[in-house]
Parts: sequence; structure tokens; C-alpha cells
Amino acid sequence: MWNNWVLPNGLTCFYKQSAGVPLAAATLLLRSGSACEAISQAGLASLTADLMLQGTRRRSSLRIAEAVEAVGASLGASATEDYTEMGFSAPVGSLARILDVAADVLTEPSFPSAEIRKESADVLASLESRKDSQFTVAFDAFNAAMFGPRHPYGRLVDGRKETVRRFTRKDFDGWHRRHVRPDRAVFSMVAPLAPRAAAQQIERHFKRWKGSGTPLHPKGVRAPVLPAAFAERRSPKNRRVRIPSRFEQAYLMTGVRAPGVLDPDYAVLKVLNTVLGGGMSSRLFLRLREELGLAYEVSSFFPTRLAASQWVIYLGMPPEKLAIAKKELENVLSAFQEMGPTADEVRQASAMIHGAYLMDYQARRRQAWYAAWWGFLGKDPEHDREFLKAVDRVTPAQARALARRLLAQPRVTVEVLPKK
Amino acid sequence: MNFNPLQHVVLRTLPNGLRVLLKEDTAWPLVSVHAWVRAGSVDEQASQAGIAHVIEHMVFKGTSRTPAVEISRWVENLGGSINAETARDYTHYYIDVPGAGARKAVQLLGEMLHQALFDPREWERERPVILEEIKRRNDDPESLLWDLFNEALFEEDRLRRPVIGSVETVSAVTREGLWAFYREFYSTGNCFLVVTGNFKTRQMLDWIHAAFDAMPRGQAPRRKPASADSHAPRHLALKKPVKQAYVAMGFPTPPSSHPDHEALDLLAAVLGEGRSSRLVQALREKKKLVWSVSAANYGHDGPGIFSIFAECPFPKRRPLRPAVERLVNALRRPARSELARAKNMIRNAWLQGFESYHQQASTLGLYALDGQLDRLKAYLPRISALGPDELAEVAERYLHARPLSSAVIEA
Repeated sequence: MWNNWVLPNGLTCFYKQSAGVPLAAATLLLRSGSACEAISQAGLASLTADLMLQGTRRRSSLRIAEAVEAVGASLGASATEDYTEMGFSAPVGSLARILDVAADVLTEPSFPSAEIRKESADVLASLESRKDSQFTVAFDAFNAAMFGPRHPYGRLVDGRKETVRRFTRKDFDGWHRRHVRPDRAVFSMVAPLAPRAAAQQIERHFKRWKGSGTPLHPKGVRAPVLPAAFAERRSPKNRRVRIPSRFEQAYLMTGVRAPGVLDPDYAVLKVLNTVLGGGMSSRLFLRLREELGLAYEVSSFFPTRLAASQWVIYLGMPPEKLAIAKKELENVLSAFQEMGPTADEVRQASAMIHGAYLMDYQARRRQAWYAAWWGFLGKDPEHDREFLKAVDRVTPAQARALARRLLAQPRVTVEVLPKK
Repeated sequence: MNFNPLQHVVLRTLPNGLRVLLKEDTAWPLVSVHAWVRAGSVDEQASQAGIAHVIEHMVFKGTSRTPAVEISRWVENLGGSINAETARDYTHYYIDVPGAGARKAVQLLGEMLHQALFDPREWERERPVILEEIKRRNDDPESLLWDLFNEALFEEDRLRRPVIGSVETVSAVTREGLWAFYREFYSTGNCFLVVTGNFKTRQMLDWIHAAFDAMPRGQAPRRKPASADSHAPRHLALKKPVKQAYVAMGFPTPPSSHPDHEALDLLAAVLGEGRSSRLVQALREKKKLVWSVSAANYGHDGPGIFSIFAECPFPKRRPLRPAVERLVNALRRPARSELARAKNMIRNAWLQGFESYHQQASTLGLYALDGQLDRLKAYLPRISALGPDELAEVAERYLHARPLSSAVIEA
């Protein structure tokens, strides 16, 4: 049973008491993802999240790490396109200490120059090492081709070398002041503590975080306002990208635009994806791997995103099988576009989504994350139930209609091939 | 709080010799069914390297009662998931499923463990898939590093070669070879079944009995003890067109049954777990030699591995090794605060590992297979009791007695 309330500074809070192991887990989601960046700020949300843990007015980077790890806890922060996330897991007996560090990091990061140099160098290195993963090479090229460089989903959350090199402390201070605010955030926690005691601890530590008092989703406003950058839309057309690479095997990634999480068709997409490439009995896996033995890796997925996302299919195979794999893939997609999934497939997909959700939900950190996510979207922390009901209600006709509509769109295809 | 991982555990040996561990829990409407077979790459002849992994693939390709396509379809139809892994010392199969599917999950694993068909047509279809899996490792620097590290650490061929085998050995596997390996290792005396989650213990025992009663009886084949005989430290490097260096360093350790392993776990945590650990502070934060660094201790039925992994710019890979050696040699009596930190980190990771039925069954099975459930129960108390003097002795025995070996993937 979740408790929800809003602190005077506007921070939306969710809490659930949970018996069992003496651990607390929490997630804070802030509306400050890379989608809020200007093009010249690419990478700022992510680097700010890193640097918040690297020094505050009261604690150095080392003291933050020591304060957290001394009790065996973990505290991390990162950014995605849609949000910045901070999360912790801690022994419940040390909850006050971790909340104190988390509040310190959120309210008074000092962005020391030495840490800026070190973390920036780290990001520059990671931008380079992305090229060591064939999936990442393909996916980065796919996103760039699908959305274009001006759309938040078309560029890397880590930014570009030229933007990351230019950031100064002023940039991080400015981003923090503007975006890291309780009235842009949802905090969710699960612990073996009575709700009243937990609420007192949360309030005591987060009350010093200054905010307008208006929560992320004021009463009557239930859906997030999308950042302006999402208005940028590439003209839809087929795009094909071939990347000669140092990899020995071939990789094929192809896909289309797909509904975002706020779209009424999102639950239908979840079902469609499960049928097409979401498991060992999915159409792609059975045909391309099990029947034809064409590829070891065969799957499909869609990133869950606030704005219109993408539906992606990928295969890893020997270079000499690329041509036949492409042909067979097109056959599977054509049949799927024509007929959609069967009633049995829709029912099985719904069961798989329920089961996967239940398995994931056993860990407290995941419970905290889901509640924060739903709150971030303006829903109740227990919106999972509503969402799973929406999945149950998906009919074969709806699934077929969406398959037809999505697969009729222009396609982006990326091939990563060994250099000849 | 005294956490007992064996609380509510029921252990039984069926009349046919199959050992079973059940842990009933009603918190979630789920059941996790795991089968552990004491058959890994260490049990293979050099000419059949990779056959344990091939078997793992092929038992999904149909049993005398269930066609290939129906195995995953049935599990996923109920909202469950099914998968498997092959390691140096074991093969591990599991089905996670909502409670209503528990009986069928047990039945299915029973079929896979003793009624697999090994249809030659299926093997012809699956062989290219496995060969592709092998070749894909050439494109993955972390997989390459792990294989190279094992080559650097060990003398014995069966410890040095990749679990997955090679294109040559897997290409040569025959249906007869598969059948012979399956018959030798997939018997009641060589397997352990673990079920955790929401079921009734008595009823579950009946289901297991029905599903496994026909499994061939047999004792565990005698596994030739693997040797961690010391050799001169080896430093291996492999050139690949990568963008940064991937580095592994470390030492062989005794088998996981050895009482020093908890101390080695603690030493690894002191050295390289978390941002305030010695390696991260010295090599990343102060010297800026690496992008990332960590340490871990891996227990095996045979020789284990104490490892340090790092990613760094190419020019830093040369000064990295002496810097790590200095830090390892300085690891003698950890300060009280360091020790407390390491103990707390291990304890919390351990508790988190018992949050889901799947993770519980994985941990319980791993210890049960090697007959070390008492060790599991005593793990946290033992970690808690270890003092700086004992750690200093263990560090001296394994980490200071000889230079470390290393492996590097570099451009």
C-alpha cells in the first residue's frame, strides 16, 4: 500500500512499507533529461548528474563515497533523454545517513574544478569506447538516422566531444539551479519502516531543498509537458546506413517510429513487440534462429520514452548470411504487417508481460523505481495495475491495426559490416 | 538481524538418488525451478571442448514428450521465462513461472534432463547458431579478455580453454558424442534440483518425484581434481582494433571449499569494491591511470580466481601493472574502518541477492551442488568474524606469495 504526499517545497513523495530484509531502496526522478538541453549543451544533464556526487559544500567526493559505502549502501545518479535519476539502496538502520547525503548532493553540489576535469575526461573516453560494442555502433547510427541531430533521441545522452570539452562550472551551476528542483521531482521509497516514521525522515532531510511549492503534477494536470525539442521532427523517409567496421561479424538493425509511453497505443505496442521479438517463442526467434539457424542474436525492443519512440529489430550473424537474413526478416515483417498477431499470440504476450513484471517487481529498488516512474508520468504509484489491465484489454484487431500502421512507415536500416 | 539463508529450506534425497532443495515462500505468486548438473567445460576432453555448452542448447531442442518449439512456447504462454548457462564446473537450467505453472515447469525440466532427443536434424540446425555465438566473442573485448586471463592464470589445458569451445571442436561434435556425454553426466547422483517460491512442499515433492523418477540412477562421475600449480607469472596481450585497453590481473586461488574464500572475498572488497576502495582511489581518482577498476574473488570447484579488472587509455596500461602490484603488496592489515566498510558492502549485496526467488535459487543451488550448504549458512557470520590478522595471513598466502599474472586486449 503506497502513501503519497507533497512536501511544502513541492517534492512529490511516495512510500511503501515492506517487511523482510532490513534494506531501504529509493528512486528520485527529475524532469531534467537531455531533452531539456540546447544543442550546444549536449551532455550537460548527464555530466551534471555525475558531478553532483563528486563534491558538495560539506563533503568532498571521497567523503561522499565513504559516507555511503561505510554502511554498505550505494548511491548513484545518471541522466536519460527524459529524466535524471538518483537512487539508493541502504540498510534501514542507516537510512538517516543516506538521506542526509542524498539531500546534500541534491541541494549543495559544489562542482569542484578538479572533479570537472576528471569526469569530463571520463566521458570523452566513454564516447570513444562506445565504438568497441557492435550493438552500440549500430544503435547510435540508427538513432541519428531515425531522429536527426536536433532531436533529443537522435543524439547521445553523454553529448559530443566538442560540447563536453567546453563545459565549465558555470554551466553545471546553471543547470543545477534551473533543473534540480523539488518541484520538478518525484521521490519514491520502499523500506521496512512504519509510514509515519519514514515520512518524518524524508521530510526532515528534504525540507532544506528549496522549491516553489507546486508539485511536478499539480492537481488537475495529469500529463507531463514535453520539452520543446520534441517538436523537431525529421521528414519520414526510408534511410539506409552501411558502416564498414573492424568487427568480424555482421549486424543488422532496422526499425520504425513507435508510440511513446503517453500514447494510448503504448500497451498495444508492448504486446506487438513481445509477439514479434520479445522471447524465445517470438516470431523472429523461431523463424530466423530456430528454424533457419541464421543468427545467434535475434530480438526486437522499443525504448520506453515520453515522446514518440522507435521500434527496433536487430540480428547478429555471419557476414555471408546477411543477404538471406534480410530476405527472411522481410518475409516475417510482411506477414506480421499483413495479418498481425493471432489471438493466441496476443494472449501469450499479455501473460509474458504480466510474468516479467512480477519477477522484476520482487526487488525493492525496482518497486521504488516503478512508483517514481508512474509518478513522473502524473499517475498513481500503483498505476502498474491499470497498465497491466490495459495490456489485458488489447485485442488482436487492435494489435493488427497498429502493426499495419507502424510497419507501413518509412524504415531506418543500419548494417554494420566487416571492412573488406 | 541474523539473516539465515537456509530458513524454511527442506532438503530431500529421492529414492532414485536425486537431491532436492525446496524453499517455500508465499510473498509472491511465483515459482523458480532450477536444475544444476555437475557437468562443465572442466569435464570435457580437449577434443570435445564446448560439448557441455552444446548439450545445454540441445536439451531445448525437444524431448520424447515435448517438441522443441513447445518448450519455450509453453513457458512463455504462462508468462514465465526459461534459460540456461554453462560454466567451467556446472550447467544450470531454470524456469521462472507464475505459481500456476509450477507443476509443468518441474515436469519440463525433468524431461530436458533425462528425455532429450538430440535429433540429428536439430543438431544440424543448431550447430551454425553455436558457431556464430563463438565467433561473436571475437567482437567482444570483455569476452576475449576473460578467455585470455584464464590462459594467463592456469597451466592445465581444461582450465585455460574457453567454456564455449572452438569452431573446430564444436564443428566436430556428433550426435553420438552428445548422447554419450549426456548419459555420463545427466544422472540423479550428478544433479541437484532447487525450487523456491509459492508452492506447497509436500505437493512439490510429489511433482518432482513424478517428473524425475525415470531419470537414470547414477553416481557423480569422478572429476579429476584440477591443479592450480604455480607457474611463472604469465603476461599475455592480444591485439584487437579496440579504442581503449581492457586489462585483467590476478592470481589463482584454492577451490571454493577452502576456508580462506570468505577472507579473499573481503580482501577483494577492501581492494576494489566501491568508489572509496583502495584501487579506485589510487588509480582512478589520484593517479588517473584508469577509467574504471574493480576487484573480485571467484570460487570454483577447482582453482578459483582473484581478479582485478581495469579499462584505461593505451599508454597507461604499462604503468598500471606495477601500480596494481604495489597496492596489492600493501594490502596487509586493513584499517578497522576499511574492514567495516567491506563487511557492510558484502552483507548488503548478499541481502539484496535474496530479494527474488530466482536469485535465492541460484545461490542455494550453487552451494548445494558442491555440498556446501553449511558454508552458506555460516557465510555472513564468518565474514563478520574475520579480523585484520586473519586477512593479513590470507593476503600473504595468495596475493603476496608470487607476482600476479595479467591479460590485456589492446590495439
